[in-house]
Amino acid sequence: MTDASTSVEPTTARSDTSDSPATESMPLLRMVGVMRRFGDVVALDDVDIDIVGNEFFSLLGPSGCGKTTLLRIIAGLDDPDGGTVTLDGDDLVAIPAHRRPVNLMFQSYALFPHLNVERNVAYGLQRERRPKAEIRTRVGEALETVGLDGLGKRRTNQLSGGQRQRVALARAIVKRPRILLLDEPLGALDKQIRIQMQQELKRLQHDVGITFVVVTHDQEEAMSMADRIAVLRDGRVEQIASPETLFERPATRFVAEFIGRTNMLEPADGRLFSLRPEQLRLLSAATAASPGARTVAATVRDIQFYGGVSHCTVQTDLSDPTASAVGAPPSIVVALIGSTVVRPGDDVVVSWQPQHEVEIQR
Amino acid sequence: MSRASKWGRVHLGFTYAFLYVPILVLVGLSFNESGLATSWGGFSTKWYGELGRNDDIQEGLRNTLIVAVGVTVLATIIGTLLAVGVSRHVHNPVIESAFVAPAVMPDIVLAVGLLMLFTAADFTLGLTSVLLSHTLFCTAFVTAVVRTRLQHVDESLEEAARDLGDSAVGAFVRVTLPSLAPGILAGALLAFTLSIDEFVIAFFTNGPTSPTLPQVIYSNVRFGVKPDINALAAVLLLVSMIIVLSAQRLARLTDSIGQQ
Repeated sequence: MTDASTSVEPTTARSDTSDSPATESMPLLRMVGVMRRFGDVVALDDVDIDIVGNEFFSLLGPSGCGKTTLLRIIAGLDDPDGGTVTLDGDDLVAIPAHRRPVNLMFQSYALFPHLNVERNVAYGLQRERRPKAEIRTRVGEALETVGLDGLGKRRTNQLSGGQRQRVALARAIVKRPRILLLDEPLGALDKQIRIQMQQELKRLQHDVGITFVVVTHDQEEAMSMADRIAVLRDGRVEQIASPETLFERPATRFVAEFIGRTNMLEPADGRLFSLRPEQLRLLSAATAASPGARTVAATVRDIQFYGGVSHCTVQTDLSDPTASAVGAPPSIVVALIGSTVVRPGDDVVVSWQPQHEVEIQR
Repeated sequence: MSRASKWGRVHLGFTYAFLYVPILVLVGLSFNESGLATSWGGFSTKWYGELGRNDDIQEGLRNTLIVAVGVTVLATIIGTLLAVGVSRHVHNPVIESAFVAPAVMPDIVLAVGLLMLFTAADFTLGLTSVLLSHTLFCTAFVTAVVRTRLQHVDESLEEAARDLGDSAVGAFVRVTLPSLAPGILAGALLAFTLSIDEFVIAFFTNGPTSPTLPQVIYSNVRFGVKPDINALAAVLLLVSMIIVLSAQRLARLTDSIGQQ
């Protein structure tokens, strides 16, 4: 990542070269050319992903992008039509779901309604025919890890949404899988609990030392938790990178627009650039821009205040020669810290440094 | 109390009277010493004693119980498997709802059809043919009840069990069946009550030597209602009320589990 701040060389899609720890050591899980079709629909198209040990990895994409299908293939609940999936170099596809050292936390949690909390968590260990004493100890530990000690005898329908999620988590980690798969783990929770659980999942992953693979459609969730993220779209991998790289150096237009907000510049030469709202400055029409900066005249149209940050949408003055030279869009979003003194209708100048324009592959 | 709600209560009272007076008359007469519908001869339980000495009724009860127990076992097993299989593997809505046909078909049509089939197949009519016929329509009811339960159960449960290391059979037995249990039990009770008082199909598909209880009652009342039949009807009423109430309790249990 040494060159990340200066170079504007295009990064290729599916590149995992720039900041992937996977290239340094043998990956724990390796997927090569994974294909999956449902009738005429291609759910996964030639997917290559490496996941290393102890990584918090996220599969991110809009609904229908194939992320859950990929998760189910790793879990063994679905089989790929082509490609290979290996765990520590051994073929994983040949192993049936119930013998894989991989556990899945279902989006619905899938808690067994006829069993209490304790027996839900003990289920996997009982199938391994562990001694009773060991099961009791490990179930106790798992419930403590997720902060549910003392609730072992409860019925699952007496628990809150957050507690049910913790039971599902305890049930999955108690078997000490090599990889824990989580399908939209925070999807069913309220926003407040969700933010708290993001931190807890991150801490938990660190404490138990299990590789986490989290499926989510929420880019903020993925960005805040994951070490690396694979962005999927229509069954294909768009880019695999750290959250920072995805944000600063998106490889495709889709990634640039899916991760955070962005402005796309389309100059006459046919190239395409992404320009983050956070890299833009708003100046009053009279102020001189800093040396080397590009400037475009604009009129403030709308301000959205989010508390810590405001998004100011301005209407570009397309008669400004710079605007057409850089290919500025008719409206530009500028991120401002805190609230702002500008008001709709104000004439302003948008300015940015040319090195913040990130070229995107067409 | 407003006039409207007062009149509403009177209306409700009449409707309930219309529904329940015949039953109350029956139960009342079963305790009538005189045994006549026209005069009250004092309270007596002697007709219930008569029941115990009536060999025809004993025989009919035995036949009916043999059929009902067999039907309950068969229809519950077949109906449960059908419900699970159809909801998992059938995506054609016509075939998916075809199982319900025997439940909504007029009994007389089903009865005649079955009689033709048994005759064509040269099958000796008797308790076995009644048992098969009752299993046919009771399976439809069990399937419907279990399917309703299935819709309340998380589809991922069995996959979760597999993911936690259970075999396909183990996951079905340890997770799917217990989570469907309230529905299966309600279906079984329904099959039992339906079979016990079924008359039309039994009338057509039974042989001459093994009448079921409803058939015995029918042949008894053809020449006037005997008082011990009143007592028998009261007993049957009590039994089916107990079963229906249990099924309703199970259904409530189903709801409370389904609400997660």
